[in-house]
Formats: sequence, structure tokens, C-alpha cells
Amino acid sequence: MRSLKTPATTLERTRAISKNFFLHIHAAKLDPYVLKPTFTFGLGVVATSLFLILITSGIFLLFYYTPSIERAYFSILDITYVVSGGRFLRNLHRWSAHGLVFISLLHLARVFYTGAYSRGRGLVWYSGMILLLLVLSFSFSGYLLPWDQLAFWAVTIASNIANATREIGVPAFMDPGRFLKYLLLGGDQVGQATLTRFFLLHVVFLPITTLFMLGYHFWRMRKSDGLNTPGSMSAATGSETSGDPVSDNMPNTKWLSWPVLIWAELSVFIVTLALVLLFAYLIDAPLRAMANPTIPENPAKSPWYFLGVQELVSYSAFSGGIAIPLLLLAGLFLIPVFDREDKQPGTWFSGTEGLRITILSVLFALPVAIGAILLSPVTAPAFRGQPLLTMLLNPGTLLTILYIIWALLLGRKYRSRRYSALALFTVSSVGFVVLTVVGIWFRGTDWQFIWPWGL
Amino acid sequence: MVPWDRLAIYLAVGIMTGMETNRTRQFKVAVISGGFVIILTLILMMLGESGLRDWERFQENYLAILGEKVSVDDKIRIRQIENHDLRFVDRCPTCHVGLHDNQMTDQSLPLTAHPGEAFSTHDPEQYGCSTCHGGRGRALDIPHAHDQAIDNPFLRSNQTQAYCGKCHLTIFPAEFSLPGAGRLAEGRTVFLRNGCQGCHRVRGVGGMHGPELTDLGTRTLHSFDFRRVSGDRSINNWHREHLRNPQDISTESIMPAFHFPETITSALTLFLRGQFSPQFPLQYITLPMIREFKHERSVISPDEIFSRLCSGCHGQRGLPDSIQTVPFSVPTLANPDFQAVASLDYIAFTITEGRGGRYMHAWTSEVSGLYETEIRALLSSVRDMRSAAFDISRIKHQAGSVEEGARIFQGNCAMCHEANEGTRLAPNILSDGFLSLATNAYILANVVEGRANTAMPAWRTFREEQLIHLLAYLRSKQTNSMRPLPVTPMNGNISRGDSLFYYSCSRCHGEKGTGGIGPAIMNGAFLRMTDPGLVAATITSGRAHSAMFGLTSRGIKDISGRENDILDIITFMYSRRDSIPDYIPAGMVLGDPDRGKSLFYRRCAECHGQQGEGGKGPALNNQEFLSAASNGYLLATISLGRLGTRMPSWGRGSADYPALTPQERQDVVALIRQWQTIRIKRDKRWIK
Repeated sequence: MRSLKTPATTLERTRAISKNFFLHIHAAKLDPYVLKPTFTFGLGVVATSLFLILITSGIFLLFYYTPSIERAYFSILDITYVVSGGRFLRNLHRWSAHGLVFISLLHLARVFYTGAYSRGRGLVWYSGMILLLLVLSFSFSGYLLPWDQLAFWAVTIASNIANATREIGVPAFMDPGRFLKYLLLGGDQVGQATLTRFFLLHVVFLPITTLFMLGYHFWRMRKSDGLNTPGSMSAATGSETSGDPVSDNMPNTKWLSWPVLIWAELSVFIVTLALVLLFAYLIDAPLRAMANPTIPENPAKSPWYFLGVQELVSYSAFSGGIAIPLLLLAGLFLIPVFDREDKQPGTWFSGTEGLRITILSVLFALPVAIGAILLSPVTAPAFRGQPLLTMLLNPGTLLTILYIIWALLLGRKYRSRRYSALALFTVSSVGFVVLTVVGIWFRGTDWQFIWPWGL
Repeated sequence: MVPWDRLAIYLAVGIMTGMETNRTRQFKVAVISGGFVIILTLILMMLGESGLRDWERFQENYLAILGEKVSVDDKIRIRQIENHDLRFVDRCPTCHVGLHDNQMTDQSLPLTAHPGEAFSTHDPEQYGCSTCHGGRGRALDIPHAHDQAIDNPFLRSNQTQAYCGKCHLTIFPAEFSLPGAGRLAEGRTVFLRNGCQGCHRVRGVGGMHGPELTDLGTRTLHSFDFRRVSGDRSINNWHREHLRNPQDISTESIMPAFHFPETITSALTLFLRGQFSPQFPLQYITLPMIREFKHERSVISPDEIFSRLCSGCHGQRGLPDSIQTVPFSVPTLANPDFQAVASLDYIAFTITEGRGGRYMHAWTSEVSGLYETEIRALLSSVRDMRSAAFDISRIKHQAGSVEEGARIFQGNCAMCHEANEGTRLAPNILSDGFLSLATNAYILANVVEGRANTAMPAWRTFREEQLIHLLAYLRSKQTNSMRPLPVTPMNGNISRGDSLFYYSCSRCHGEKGTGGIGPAIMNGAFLRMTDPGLVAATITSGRAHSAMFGLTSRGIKDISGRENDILDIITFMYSRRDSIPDYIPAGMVLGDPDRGKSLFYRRCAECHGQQGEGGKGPALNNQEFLSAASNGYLLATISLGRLGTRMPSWGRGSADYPALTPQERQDVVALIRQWQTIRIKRDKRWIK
């Protein structure tokens, strides 16, 4: 029998990683820089941990949940009040889900700001973007399953946002938005068909797809020799990957993965688990009255990560619901195509110049976003009844145009696409955050402005 | 030889290993502290699920108390009632252990036995607890079990009665008696007596100005708008604030502010929260309620209809002091001056056609949900209100005072029946030609019932003795003795009579006899009231000092050739006694609208608006109004005024508002009639 003593020699430590089924995705050696907390903040590992927690808690919930419109709500009630530990498990699942969306966005920001998509890691970026879309689909499909008023109307709103392509007069048989809406809903309205297919998505299709995509994401990263650190750019090896699966010959890989990398990942997982368990213990997941198609919620709000889009939709359904989000996604997707400069990868903001540009962009974006939102009570009545004008001249398109101009000007001034991308990403993020914040806390009945918490 | 290179390598490796070890240690610390938090949280969670729960404590108390009384053999466990028809899983007995136990009546909550007699009719094993009390049946902790923010909110004991409405009728039966539901009955009475149903439809009957209230009890907390509600965020408070001042809650509301005391408000809130459509399988619901939802509800009487549907705007029993302040003018229906001038035609038309553009909408079955029989009964009761308060046949030949009669005549009749110049509004009734033919009964009938389509109001409010004096005065003007009425067989030629009427009579009496210089004579009311002999005699001898020239007054001595003519005319007239014209006849316009315009601007526009659009007074250019009101109605209203409102009597005149001459009144009516652009046909269903 093979000895189980702790690996001590270099060879033993190398083999502990490379010969292990679960661990051999890691390289045997690593660049110590990757373990700096302030480099990555462990966000990718947090996201993976949350995903694992979600799978586990989700499987437990599957024991009791029934995806039928007569029973779904009551099965949730049973889980919450009758099943031992049910309330806790449900809370755990819900807060992990929200957490995963949030962390994914943060991870996206980190990867962008450290330029980790450069130096040939474009495919990692693309697979990551697809993972983001999968996470959002996960969260959205799961949102409907409790079948309460919150769920029902949130999904109704979101599916109608998809349907906004009818505003531009596309004939019905060619209308992708309409197609998407009917694909999602399985009918005109949210009903049993919707619940069934959302359940299918949430429990079968999306997990399988996500696991595959996650596997590809990790593999692609390993194939690109791990994380993009500042020191990994050297004259000796150039900027291309060595193509060697066991890249222990990179100049900066000074440490052996065993045991420090294992402890690092374990600690991130444990801390994530601890926080999310605490959350689940202290705060209950919301549950409103059972879904009632005849009584709409007012305001009917989609999940928080779509509220920025919903705010934009309140200005114009097509430009806010379809044009701008598609533009945003296309822009995000194509960043590695746009920026091929490989400017100081692994360094936050690509250096002090970049940091200055980021701060300037934040200072520009914040008042512009708030101003555009405050403009909305003026533009809405001015262009009512004129769909084309509303589509073209509303706070959302105004913001988009101003932000793009800002990014172009900066790019031209500094003659760098990376800086242009930095600026555009920053202003878009700030705008998106402001819109989301307004959508969550500053909009009330009939989508009127309110002060939050009844101030 | 010091091996410097080896030392350097060892040092480098040592440093690197040291840094590596530091990092590892940092992560190890994170794992251990995270692990502590996890274990702590899991322990707290598990403790929360068992061993320290409230219900276990309650059950221990219960067993202890019970153990003092009898020997017990029961353990601490979850107690549950389920019924999937009624969709509940109720674990209330887990804390409320003493529910069924008569020995626990002396305890306080939660161990006390259930008070009252509810269990004798509602077996808890079948009906559960949350059906009547609300709350989350599955929950075992107090805040969730007694949750008021869910779709079946928990109601405190003083409001539990509201949920009786889930199975029991509350709206349509005339009587309501459910034992133990006293406050529900109180709220119901308030709702039905204040005309709420007139704007708020419930269970298929009611008006449309306010939201439908049929399922109000199922509305959850989230569906109420609390933006302008002060106080706590609860359904009870929303209703309280809304009843106190509706405009505070919804700015465009026209609902008046009912200044109810707090007890009434809470009873009404309870009633409103008890409005439900059947949610349960039919075997749990009372048979009358099922019928009600199949539109086989019990019929409501005309008094009930008025109280439920009309009194909200028109005041309880139509009295002015009970009208809430609605932001638009409504007539007080019990006003005697209104009752005098409004004929059944007018009232029926208004009820069934409404007033376009105003808040009075048409109360037909399609709109209001009332049955046709109920509407007909309502109209009949209106007609019955118009008869005299006493039996006029008792007034035969009693002697009255002529001076009194003269005073009464001067104050009420002279403004139309005695004219000094120009066109008279009304025939000369002091002439012999009339008085020698008219019996007392006929005169009294005219006075008390009025003349349809003319300006003669129905003077219902005269007392017996006043009528006696009036008769004495009229008779004092009679110079000749009473003439007998000729017998008039109805066997003339109707079509000949038709053309004779057209050529001879319609010039003055209006085309189709609907009135002009002469009174309206081709309507059922007149023809039923008047003996054909009187008509024959009037045609024969005419009326002195009037335009009715009769045959003899034209110097035709020998009328024998003309008797057939008269017969034909009368036969024709009476053959049309029961025919109902499609439109309410307005009658001829005898005034000058231009003169009327300047008069209107000076005298009427202040209240009725420059174009008759209304303001302090009702709108006069409303098309439904003009289709309902004949010129006679307009003349009568102008002449009489409306006591108790700001409409002065332009016939009598006063210091502030000097009288208008009959011609001036005709001119104003001519102007008003000019505003009519369409004629609305009436629905013959309602006119017998």
C-alpha cells in the first residue's frame, strides 16, 4: 500500500499535484504573485465555491420541490416551515445565488482591470463571458421556481423586455425578441409551461453546460500557463504560451503548488462557506403571496441584476432593453479583439497612468449618470407618442453616446486602446451601478421616484 | 574554503521557503477561523431547530397543568390538522395545545380552550384554524405563524369575523344574521346604508366610478399603495386613512370623506376585508352563496336599491342634509319642488339613460347588474311616490274660505295662470268655459297630479284644507252653473280624425298634440284623466278669452253636420291613449331665443354657466337632460324654483331675484332648447 505520509521532497510534492485526479488541473509550480490577496482577491475561487455550494444545497432542495404551479408554492412552504433545516437550506441557496451573480461581476471587473485577457488568453475571456451569461440564466431561471408574486411578475417583466423588438416594427416571423419571449415562456403568459422549462433549464441544462464551460475555462487557463502576472512577461519567452502542459520552466514559478496553493483555495472556500452560512442563518429569503396573474405587483421589479436594464427600459423599451444591453455585451465580448496591446498585464489599471484614467472616468461618469436619470421626468412626456424619438433621445442613449465619446477622446489623447478600454469599461460600470441602485432603491409604485426606506 | 555559492543557494531557498511558509500559515489561519464560524453557525442553526422552541415549552406547561388535574399520558410532539380541499396544513395546536380541552378554559393564551361556540358548527378537524383566523399554518414560531403580510393574513381576535365572508353571504340577503358576527353585520349595515355600492360594484351589482370590491379580502399588503398613507403600514390603517380622506390616498378620487367615528370605521374595514369570491370546493360553501355567484341572487326592494346605490350621492332617503360633500352637484330627490316638476317619464329616462359626461350613469341591467324586475319595481315606486298623501275623493263638497283660496292662488298659481300680457304659459282656469265643465274631482286631479308635458307641476304638498280653499276660490269665479258632459261614443273614424286633428288642432296644440299655445293633449296621462265628454264640450263651445275657439264661438249655429267631425277627432285621440312615443315630447318653443340669451346671461349664467355648462347649478346643455326634460319641465322648474337650493322661484320673484314674466320664461326655455343637438330615444322596456 502506498504510504500516506505528507509529501516532503520536491518530487513527492510535484507528484502530489500531477498524479491526483482532482488536483492535476493545477500546475506543479506557481508564481507566488498569484497568491497575493490584493491581486485577485480570490474571486474566481469564491465564484467556484459558491457554485459548489449551490449545487449541494440545490440537490437537497430538489428532494422537496415540485415544479407544478399548484404545488410549487406549497412545496416551498413545506421546505421553509416543515422540513428540518429547510429554511436554512433555502436561505443558503438563495444568498449563494445572489452572491454568485455579484461575485461573477466583480471577477469580471478584476480580470479586466488587471488585463488578464491579454497575452493570448482571449479564449479564457470568452469562456468567462459565456459563464457570466450562464450564471445570469441560472439565477433568472431559479427566480421563478418559488412561484410567488415576486417571481411571477419579475419574470413577466423580463420576458416583456425581450419582446421590445416589436417597437422597431420587425415582422413577427423575423422577430428575435418575440421568439425569445415565447421560447422562455412557452406561451403568451407565464404559466405551467414556463415553470416546467425554467425548471428544466435550472436543474439539467444549465448545470451540465456550466460544468462543461467551467472545465473548459480552467483548462484554457492552464493551457495559457496560469494567471497573467506582471512578472510573466519576459524577454526570454516572449509573450506566447509555451504550449507545454507542465510549464515548470517559466521564470517566475518559484514555489511548489503543494501545499500552499491547496491551503489558499481551501481557505477561500471555507471563508466563503462561513460567510454564506452566516447570511443564511441570519436573514430569511423573501417569499410573498402565491403568484396571482390577475393582481400585478406595483412596482413589479425584476431581480436586482436586471434592474439597471429595467431602469433603462423605463426610458425606452427597445433601446434600453435590447439595443444598449446587446451593445454592452458585444463590447465586453470583443475586448480582447479591441485591445491587443498587452500593456502591463497583471498590474491593476495597467499602471499609474491607467489608475488616473480610471479615477477620472469615475468622476466623469457619476454626475453624468445621475444627471441623465434626473432628466428622465422631462424627456418622457416630451416625446410621448413618438416612438422613434423616444428611442433615440432618452437618458439611456444619451448616457451611451456620452460615454462612448469620453472613451474615444481619451483613447485618442493617450493613443492607447487599452486606456480607451479602461475608460469605457469604467464609465459603463459606473453608469450600470448607478442605474441599478436607482432601480433598486429609488423607484416605487408606478415607477415613480421615491426616497428609499420611506425617508 | 567557505562554499559561498552553496550558502547563497541555501539562503535563497531558505528565504523563499520562509515566505512560502508564511503564506501557507496565513491561509491555514483563514481556514481555521472560517471553520470555527461554520461550526458555530451550524450549531446555532441546529439548536434553533430543536430543543429550545417555544412550542415545546408551551406543551410542557400544558402537560404540567393537566397533570395536576388528571393523569396524563401524552408526549411532546407536533400536532397538525390537514385538509387539502381547503388547502391548509395547520400546526396551530402545537402551541395552542389546550384548544379542544374543556379543562383549560381558565388558562390564558396560548393554552386556553377555544372561546365561544364556533366549534359546534365548524369542526376544526375539517375547517382547520387558518381558514378562519388566517396566518401561516405550517409555521411553528410566533412571528411567522401570525404573519399579517402574507396572502392569508392573520387577523386579531376582534377582526376574525371578516373571514366569515369566505363562505357566508354578506351582500344580498335583506337580513343578515350569523351568530358571532355582530361587527361584521354592523359593517355591513354601514356599507349598505351609505350608498357605497353606488360607486363600488360588489358581486355584480353597483356603479362603476370606484374600483370593484368583490375580492377585496384577498388583496395582500403589497397591493395597496402606501405612498401617501401616514401611520403604520397595515391594511387596517390603509382603510382607516382612506375612509378618513380618500383624496389623500388617491388624488383623483371623487369619493366623499365620510366622517365616521372610529368604531364605525373599524366595523366597515372588517366588512371590506370580508369580501371574498368562493375559494373552496363547493361542498364547503353555503347554497345561497353559490346561487349568488351564478347570478341567482335574492331580489332587492326599491328602498334597498335606493339605500345601496343612490344614497351615496343623493343622500339618505334623498334628503339634502344627509348628502355627503361630493365634488359635483346632485339633485336632492326628496325636494318637494323637484317632486312637483319631475314626471315619471323624466325620472325613468334619467335613471335608465343617465347623464352623459357626468357621474350619473345609466342604471340598466347591463351596467348596474340590477335585474329588470328590480328596475321596474324601482320605477313603480317612484310613480307611487307621486300620488297625493291622502285620498282626494274625500274632498267632495266641503266649504272653504274664498280669501284663503285667493291667497293660495296668488302665491302659487298666478305666476302662470294669470298673465298680464302676451302669451300665457297656462290656460285661463278662471273662465267659465273651463269651470262649468270641470268637476271638483277633475280640478283636484289636475292640481295634484299635474299635466304631463306641460308646465303644470304636481302640487303634492298641498294639504287637504288648502285644496278646499282653492276650490272655493275657483268656484267663486264661476258664473254659470255646471253643464253636463255630453255622452261621447267612441265610434268615429280614426283616420279621418287623424287628418282633422292635424288640420284643425295641431296648429295650437302642437304637432301630434304635444303642446304649444294650447296644452299637450295627446298623452296618456291627460286622456286617462279627462272624460271624453269634457273634450267634446270644449271643442264645441271653446274657451272664452283664449285661442281655443270652438265651433259655436265662430258663429256656427248648427253643429249637427259637425258632430261627426268631433266624434272622429275624439275617437282618434283616445285611440292613442296607450301609445308611447319614442321620444319624450318637448313641446313647441314659444319664446325668442335671442331675447332669452341676454336674459340668461344676466340672470342664469352665474350659476348655470355662460353656455349652460353648469357650475354651482347643474348643466343645462347636457343632451340626456334635454332629451328627458320637456319644455314644460323647464318652465315649471324656472317658475317654481327649488326650495332649499339656490334656484330661486322666477315666477314668484324675490328681493334678490325679481320675477320673470311668462314671456321671459318662455324666451329662456327657447334658448335652452336650442342647446339640444341630439334626441335620445327612450328605452320602451321601462315604460308601461
